[in-house]
Amino acid sequence: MIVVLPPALAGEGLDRLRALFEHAGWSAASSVGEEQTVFVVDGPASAGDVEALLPPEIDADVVPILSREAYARIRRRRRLLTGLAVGLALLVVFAVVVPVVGYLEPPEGSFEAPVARVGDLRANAAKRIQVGGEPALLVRDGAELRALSATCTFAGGCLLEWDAVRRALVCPLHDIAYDLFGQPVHGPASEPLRVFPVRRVDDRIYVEARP
Amino acid sequence: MNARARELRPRSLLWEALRRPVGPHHRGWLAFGWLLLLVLILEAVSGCLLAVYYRASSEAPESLRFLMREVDWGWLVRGLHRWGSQALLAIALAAGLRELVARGWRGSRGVLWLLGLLVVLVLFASDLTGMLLRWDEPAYQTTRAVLARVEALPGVGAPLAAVLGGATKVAPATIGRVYAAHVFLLPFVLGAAVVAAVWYAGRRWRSRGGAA
Repeated sequence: MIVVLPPALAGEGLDRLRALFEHAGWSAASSVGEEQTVFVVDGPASAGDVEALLPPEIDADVVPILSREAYARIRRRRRLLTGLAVGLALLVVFAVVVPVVGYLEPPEGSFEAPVARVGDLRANAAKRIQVGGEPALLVRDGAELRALSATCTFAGGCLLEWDAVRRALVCPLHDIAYDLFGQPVHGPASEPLRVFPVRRVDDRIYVEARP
Repeated sequence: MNARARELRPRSLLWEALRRPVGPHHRGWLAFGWLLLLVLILEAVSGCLLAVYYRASSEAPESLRFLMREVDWGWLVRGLHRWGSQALLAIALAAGLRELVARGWRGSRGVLWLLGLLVVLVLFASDLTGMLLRWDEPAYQTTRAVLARVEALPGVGAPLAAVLGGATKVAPATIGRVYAAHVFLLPFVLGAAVVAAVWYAGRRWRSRGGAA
């Protein structure tokens, strides 16, 4: 065992400690340094035995001298525990960073101000709106509101217009017409238009960018 | 370890708090203060995140709906903030009850007792304003009820209600005030009270050589 003592303890106090150790049947050698005084005690079974012997007013650390194997075992265990602690810390950091980054990532179709008020739209009329930066048409069909992409799915993607007489979204260039469900009903187009969900809150109309 | 070497160690409050053994009679109870601090930090972080998407206007319910349904992890952040606020009140009240039973208001712990009282009051105000920020029907009714009670106060009632509510009736002008109180005024008071309490407790604890 190595007993580390405060530097103040020297001379007589040291002799008294040595006598104490030798009385217990242990051999003891001391070294007085500037920072601390060190005792090397040979014989006791455990650090607890030495600590039990020391007078309570002495502030000492008792450190066992380990065999090479015991020390290697402790180092292995320490490495394992450090690894586990680091792994756990990384896991915690990961569990915090992933939701925060996902949360801050701009969601698809970010929340935009209402595209229109109910009073803005006459029956069987349309209003040009932007949904997620894309041109779209908001059509009032009786009491129902429908939002459709205004980009034609046929060659080139012309800007569609609302034809109140045919009740269709039309492309004058290719003579294409889509119904209010976005299905092509006339002309060479075969792909349907994107239809966006519409919600009304009081008199405000919101269009979600997700189809 | 000798005294000189101990002197060289970093003497920060947290370091000492982690190292020093605690008397067996407060071991469980001291956790309340630290737990309160931890949940407060959680509330501050999740609150900052909520403010990214929240709109303090008549669009508030819409922005919350968007947060819950469209934003990834939005439900988690809002849930943490909401249940964290309930946990804060529960922890603060439990800690206060403990101090009451242990007669913690006496002597030099009295300062901590008063600061704790301020913290609980601010927490209640935060809870109320936070609930109003949802700006849905119950929030609207609660705001009306609170303003009606303020208005009923003798003398200062009517002008105070006008200052707090921004109008004699609940209006969109109210939500801006509620928001400002919830994210600026109340957290500032709360932060100041907590910093003062931690500083005072640390100073007192050192001067008594580690006894709570």
